[in-house]
Amino acid sequence: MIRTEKSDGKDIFFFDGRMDTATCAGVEKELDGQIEKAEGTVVFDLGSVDFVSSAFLRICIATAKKKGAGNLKVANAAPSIKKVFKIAGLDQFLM
Amino acid sequence: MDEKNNFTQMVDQYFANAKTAAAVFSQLDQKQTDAIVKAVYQAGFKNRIRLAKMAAEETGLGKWQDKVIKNVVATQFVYEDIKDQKTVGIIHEDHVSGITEIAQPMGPILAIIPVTNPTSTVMFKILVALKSRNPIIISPSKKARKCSCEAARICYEAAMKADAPENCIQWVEDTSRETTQAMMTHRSLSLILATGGTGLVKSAYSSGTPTIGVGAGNVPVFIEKTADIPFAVEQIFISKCFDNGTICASEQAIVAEKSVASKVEEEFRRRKGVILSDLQVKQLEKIVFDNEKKLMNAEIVGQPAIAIAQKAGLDVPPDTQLLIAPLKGVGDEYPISSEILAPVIAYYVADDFEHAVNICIDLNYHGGIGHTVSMFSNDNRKINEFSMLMNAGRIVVNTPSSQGAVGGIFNMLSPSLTLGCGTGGKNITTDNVTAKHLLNIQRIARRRENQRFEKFDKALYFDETKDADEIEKIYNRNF
Repeated sequence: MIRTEKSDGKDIFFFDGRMDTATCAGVEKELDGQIEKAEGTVVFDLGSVDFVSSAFLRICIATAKKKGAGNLKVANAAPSIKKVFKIAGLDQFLM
Repeated sequence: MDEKNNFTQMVDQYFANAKTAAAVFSQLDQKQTDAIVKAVYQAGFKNRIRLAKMAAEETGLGKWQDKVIKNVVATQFVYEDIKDQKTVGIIHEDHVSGITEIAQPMGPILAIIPVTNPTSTVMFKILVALKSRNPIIISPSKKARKCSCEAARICYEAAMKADAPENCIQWVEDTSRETTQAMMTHRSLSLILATGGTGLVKSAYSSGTPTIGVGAGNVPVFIEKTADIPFAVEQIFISKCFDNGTICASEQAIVAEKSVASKVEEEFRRRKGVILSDLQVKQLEKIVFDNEKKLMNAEIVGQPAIAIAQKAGLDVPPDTQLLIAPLKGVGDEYPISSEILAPVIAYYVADDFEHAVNICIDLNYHGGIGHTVSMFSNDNRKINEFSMLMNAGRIVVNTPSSQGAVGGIFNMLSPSLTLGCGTGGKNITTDNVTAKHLLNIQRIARRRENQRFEKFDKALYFDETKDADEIEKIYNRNF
């Protein structure tokens, strides 16, 4: 169950632990619909995430496509996770 | 315009995939990385025979049985060499110097695959790329597309089962010069591993992307008078006839000292080598060498000796293994003194050691700078003397040159299917390229003061009367 919060007009989704391929299959299902309902900027809080797979990066890209460029942000990423977004060329998502 | 956009999008997608794979890979530790490498090696090894047969059938080059051995070297031998290497995180710590080395991956690698080793080179490059946590894109030769792509697919399937990042291995099914060129110059490409002809390697180096390439070989094998002659000739046959001579490190010319020449020739005949007459050499030249392109005739590459002999109209026994062409010189007037990747070999008789070395220098510099030279000898002084006069990344001694240069079988060179030829061959290294060449090594340098500099009176640097010798004396005072 993904914890969510509304703050300052942003819809924040909190992720936890390893965002591997198996976990992301479930995440995708859960996010389906929730993302459409989000009105403002969508924020993925990765403060408790220690691994991201290609599947999670795809979820980020798909979310950014749905909400429009600039309306997906990734927050509180640990340095190792921040580096992943940098290497993947997705640093535009980083807050 | 649409077609151009589609093409650009197609190429960009490969690199978007590769960048994502690189990002995910960066999180894996040594244990996770090694598990992937092991799984890929095992899958490649398991399919060694099927892939070898596929390669022989699709390319029409070489012998499938020898391609099995190539696949074994590319998987098992390479794996054995790299399996315990540290390629992730801190790989070396020196508390005295205060320097710590950290291994970082390079990023997406484009692997150009030659038609001569279309499955073994794929598996080799995949293993060393994954060991260093680099995603790889396989660019096959058009004439070996199916078998190269199948080798890549087998490796990828195994990698995914071992939790490798998605798209850590990709391959270009519909390869073309245009696609290869676009990929080589793509902004997201980190490195090209270019194994192929001179033109391709030059193109890779000119692309602006860092490249590790190879060079052409024109390997002389010197049979020095202290060599064990039957052994030497046997090893040469093992090498030159392997896969019908398609390995770039195979012997291209034999240079024997006069004092042992008749014994050498006797051994040639015993092993079904045919020493050609002058007239036969002329007939053969027309078939094996393209005088317009100034290169070996591509149609005879990897063909058996008897087939080549028949093409040239030579009357030789049907079980002939090797066509031996005695020559008097090296250069354009002697086409067979050039690289011919087939069971055809030039033969020189030298008056003595010095004469032999001179011939080998000529051969070495005739299209084979930096690659490999071979010597059979039991005189260590002469081995060293000969080696220092050659321009070759590897000087293999008392071994077959094909297998010897590749490494790991008859010597302790790193097994590799990408043999650097140094700057003479317009390459950046003379090494047998392996996983360690695909890492960016970072160094933490902790404070460790230079004691001599600390104690030195630095005001002396501003004293114009002090020259280098005086400064050196004072600088190195032991007190």
